[in-house]
Amino acid sequence: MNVERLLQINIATLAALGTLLLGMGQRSVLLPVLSIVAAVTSVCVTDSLGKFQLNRTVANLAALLAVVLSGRELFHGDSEYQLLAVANLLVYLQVILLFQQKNHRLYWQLIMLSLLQVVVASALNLGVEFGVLLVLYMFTALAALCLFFVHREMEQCGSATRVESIFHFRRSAEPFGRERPQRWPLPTADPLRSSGTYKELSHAVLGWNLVRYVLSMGCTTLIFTVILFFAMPRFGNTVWQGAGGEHQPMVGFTQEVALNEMKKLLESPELVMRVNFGEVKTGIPYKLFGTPYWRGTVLWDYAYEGREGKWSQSKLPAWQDDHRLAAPPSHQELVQQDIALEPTQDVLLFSAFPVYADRDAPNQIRFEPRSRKLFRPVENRTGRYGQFRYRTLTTAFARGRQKPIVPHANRLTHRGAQARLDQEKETLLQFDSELHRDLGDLAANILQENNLSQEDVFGRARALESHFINSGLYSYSLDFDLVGQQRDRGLDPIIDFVMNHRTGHCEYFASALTMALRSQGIPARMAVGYKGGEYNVVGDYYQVRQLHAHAWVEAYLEPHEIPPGYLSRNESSPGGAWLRLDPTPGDPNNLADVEDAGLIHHLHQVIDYTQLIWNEYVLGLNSERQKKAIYHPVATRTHGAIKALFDRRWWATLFANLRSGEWFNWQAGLATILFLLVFVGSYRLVSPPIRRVFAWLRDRRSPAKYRARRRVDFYSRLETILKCHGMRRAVGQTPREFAISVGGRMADRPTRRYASSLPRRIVDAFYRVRYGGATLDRQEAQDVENTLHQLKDALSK
Amino acid sequence: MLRGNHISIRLEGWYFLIVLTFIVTGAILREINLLVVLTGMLVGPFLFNWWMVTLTLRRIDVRRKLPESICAGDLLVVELDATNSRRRLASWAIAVQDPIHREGAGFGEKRMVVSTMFPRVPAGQSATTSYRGRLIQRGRYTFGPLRISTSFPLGLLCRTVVINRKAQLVVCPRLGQLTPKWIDLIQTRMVGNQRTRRRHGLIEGDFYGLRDWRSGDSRRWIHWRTSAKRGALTVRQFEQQQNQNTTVLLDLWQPSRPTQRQLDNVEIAVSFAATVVADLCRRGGSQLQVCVAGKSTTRVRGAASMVVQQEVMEMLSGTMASHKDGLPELLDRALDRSRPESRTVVISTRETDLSDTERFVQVWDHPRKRNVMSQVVCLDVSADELDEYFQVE
Repeated sequence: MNVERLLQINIATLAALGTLLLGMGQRSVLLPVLSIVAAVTSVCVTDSLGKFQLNRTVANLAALLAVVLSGRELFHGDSEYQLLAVANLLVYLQVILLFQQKNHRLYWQLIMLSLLQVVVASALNLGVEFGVLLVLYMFTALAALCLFFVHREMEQCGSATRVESIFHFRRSAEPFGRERPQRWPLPTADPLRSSGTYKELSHAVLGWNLVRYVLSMGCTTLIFTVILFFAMPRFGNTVWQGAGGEHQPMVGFTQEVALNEMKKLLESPELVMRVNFGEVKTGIPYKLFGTPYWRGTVLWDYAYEGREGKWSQSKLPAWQDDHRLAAPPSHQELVQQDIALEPTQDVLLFSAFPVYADRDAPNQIRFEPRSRKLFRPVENRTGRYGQFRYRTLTTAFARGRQKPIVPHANRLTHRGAQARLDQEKETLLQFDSELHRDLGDLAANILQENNLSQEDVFGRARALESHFINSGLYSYSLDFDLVGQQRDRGLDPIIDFVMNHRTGHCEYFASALTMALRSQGIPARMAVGYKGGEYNVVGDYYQVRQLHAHAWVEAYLEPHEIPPGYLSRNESSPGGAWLRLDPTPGDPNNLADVEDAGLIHHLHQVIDYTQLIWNEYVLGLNSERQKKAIYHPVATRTHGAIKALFDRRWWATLFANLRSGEWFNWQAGLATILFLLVFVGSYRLVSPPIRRVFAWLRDRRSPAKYRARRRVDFYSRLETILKCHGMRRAVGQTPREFAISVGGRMADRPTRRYASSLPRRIVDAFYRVRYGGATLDRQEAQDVENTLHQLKDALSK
Repeated sequence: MLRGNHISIRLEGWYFLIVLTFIVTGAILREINLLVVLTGMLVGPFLFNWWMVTLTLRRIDVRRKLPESICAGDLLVVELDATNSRRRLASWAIAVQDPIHREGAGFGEKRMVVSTMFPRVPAGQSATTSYRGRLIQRGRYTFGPLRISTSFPLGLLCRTVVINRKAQLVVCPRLGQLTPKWIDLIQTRMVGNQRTRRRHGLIEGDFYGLRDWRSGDSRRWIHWRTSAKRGALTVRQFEQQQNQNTTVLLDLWQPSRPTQRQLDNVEIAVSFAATVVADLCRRGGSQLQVCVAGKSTTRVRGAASMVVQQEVMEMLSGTMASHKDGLPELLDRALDRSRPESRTVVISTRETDLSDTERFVQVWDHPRKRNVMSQVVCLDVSADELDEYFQVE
């Protein structure tokens, strides 16, 4: 296979890949299929066999037709439509070009068309698979460009050597229109041309070396692209979200819950906090069984507006004075929670409830009783907050398990407490019997089926919870693309969930159960926070990520409705208690189940995670994120490294570490790299001018006679060259005599005969300079130089 | 040796940059991050190309190997050796341009540039390529300076380095074959000269060099100045004693607007003269004087040897015809220096009557030269009779 055939295959692959990228953006199968078929056919039929080739006129007409067709689409539609019209035009033109006989111009046009397709595709695509294909495309394009260049150079230098003008002595003098008699037998013209044929050159170029070269070029480009991408400053905080302006939503904690998802939710692995449970007295890790719940806030108001169901605390004023946390009760099992919260944009804190102040730091956090929220103590509650560590105490755990029932914080200790409790219960019973009639009927049927008495609130609540978990009618999913057909956007999302698609995530289940409980006269509210996490056995802590965000239900139980044994011996609940209900069935994609899942599931997780990274750091990289994730860390570390260079203690520590065998230190490494870069850069910048200055000074200091002598250095060089070949000037022999004798000796050898007159030429020049006082002009000096080289070459034969 | 070193953007590079600008503009204005990725993927190869063209020609040396000598019309093979002195990184696709220029080329003759390519020169190794063809015109050709360039790997940028290594090649006149009739002609003219041969000649040959005195050397050969310097007797050494002297006069005349046949006659005359000289030098043992009347009058004189042959060939390769009549003056000067026993051959591109006393008045007025005129042979190249003496292959 020669270079051109390889180039043709490469260009066809490039064309197909470009259209595939475009097709992915358009979500069209037709274009990629058309392009792939055209690419394969063109290589076989047009390039290899040469059986079908569009001539230039037909190709031009076809291109014109394509422009007219696409032009109509271009001027009748919105911006996305116009983009698609441009994309289609590029594909049509590409197909037309593929079926023409290829020349340099066509190869280049195909490459450029393919590149433009990718440009358009970049505005249409959002998926991570585009990124993967883009990398593949880049390697193919680099190979195509490389092969195209080699092919062009070889054609110019190989089979048809470029000769600017055929050198022929007679042409200018030859009379017009007269036949030249054949008196002189030599041909009129025989241009000089390269000996290597295209095939030979092709053979010399192709091979693994070229493959390695292209691969290394691709890898270098990839590294450069990554650096450029993250380093190139962004100026805005809004980024392109596809031609439709859509962005893939993600799982994560929010203080309000909106039931409106239409797309697949991604699980964000962003770290939220690390939680360490410990025994209060001893401080040793508290062994926990089961999955812990950390509540952030509770929501009780539900509103359905504009096809969106929304849970909030809208009845509360926007800002309430906060209070200190209560001191922990005595004689109860207390567990301390040490929580390290990652930087957030909210002052809200999380904890297992009920929560009490740590004895050692009672003022560390604030509590707002009405909204039941914990806050970090800051003056300004807007903006971004750094990492925060806090400790709370809780009685939520008993014998290593989180209790399902915890006492109400209102212990009816003061006047007006009962009224406030009644008001709260009233709020938690809000139910729109019109809107959620079907749900109420369903709940009634469930309870009827379970034949539970009206007084058994606990049992009724559990029965309703069990319906969602165990009936098998509901399934957990984050992908709403899958249920798109079954959904009725005209219905309330909770009703739509319960009656139609029955597929959703925790917020849907919690919403449905809350409303089902309320329909049956059981006060209930939705709690949002985090559930579970990854337990780190080394550090004895839970690592909680955004993907662990969860919603569940808290049903209110009157004191007499609390089943015996659910509260601790020393625990009382005069104001009633909260029963935690979690109606969400097991998530088949839950990370906790990963160990049991197969390879495909694991792969799914990897893809999901990659998509997340892609969305976060590629598609969604804006000015703020860039500052936070790249500029700030780099600046901080660089600053630290430079600062460390001037810190004696740091040097002492470094040498101490080196002595103890800890040889790696990133600060030292960074400092070394910086230093070397500065050193090398300075050297390269400064050395050329310094060298020039020195040369100039040296030249100025040289006396005139030395400068004059240098002018006839060429004779010394002649003697040196001759001396190297055993020809020394005898004592008393003049340079000219020497040159003549050398010429004679050279003439004796056939291989050197042609150069026998060269020494004399140099010596003549020497005599003119040395004794005639002449100065060689530039051309003469160059001639002498060339003569010396010729002599050297001749003697080396 | 290196001269000129610049990087230029090729036409494809400009197209590439236009597309890149378009993409960068889109990326900035619409804040499309995927276009930023694409920007990186385009800027990266462009910079890589720049980096590679810069590195590829570093520590690369290209040498040209010319043949020892050729005659017009012979196959010329020029070898080019590229040496990559780097320890790492092979050089790919190095295009070499070798301009060839003939000295004294006429207005209509353009400079010829031969292009060839080294597909790959591995690190620390050499590679060879060559180009071949035929140079039809005799003359002194200057090869170089070599222009080496590369655009590898993507052809977007091109770095060109000029290696100021020139070489000269003398393309000698085409050599033909002398016929036996020519030999007869010369032999006949030599009859009678034998007796006039000098047997005692002391300073008959060209000075060849100095050597130590040996027993039997004449005292007249002693080079006193050198002997004084060295403190030992040193004698001059001469070429072998000649037994015959030959003078070849080449009359390259052509009208101001020559016909093709007249142009051909010039070439044939030069070729004939070159062949005669080559023959005489091969035989050796004679003094040779070659005088040319063309655009300029030139002369080479010396003992018939390879050195003289080389000098004559160089002279003939650059000789050009003229419409002026230089033969009378040339003949006068040639006879002035020739000995009575010399053979004199006039090769002319036109019919020449040596008995024309008006044209050759200076010669005929001179008694000694007048005597010698009878020995002069005149050959007219334009006449078909030349074919009896000489044939070009």
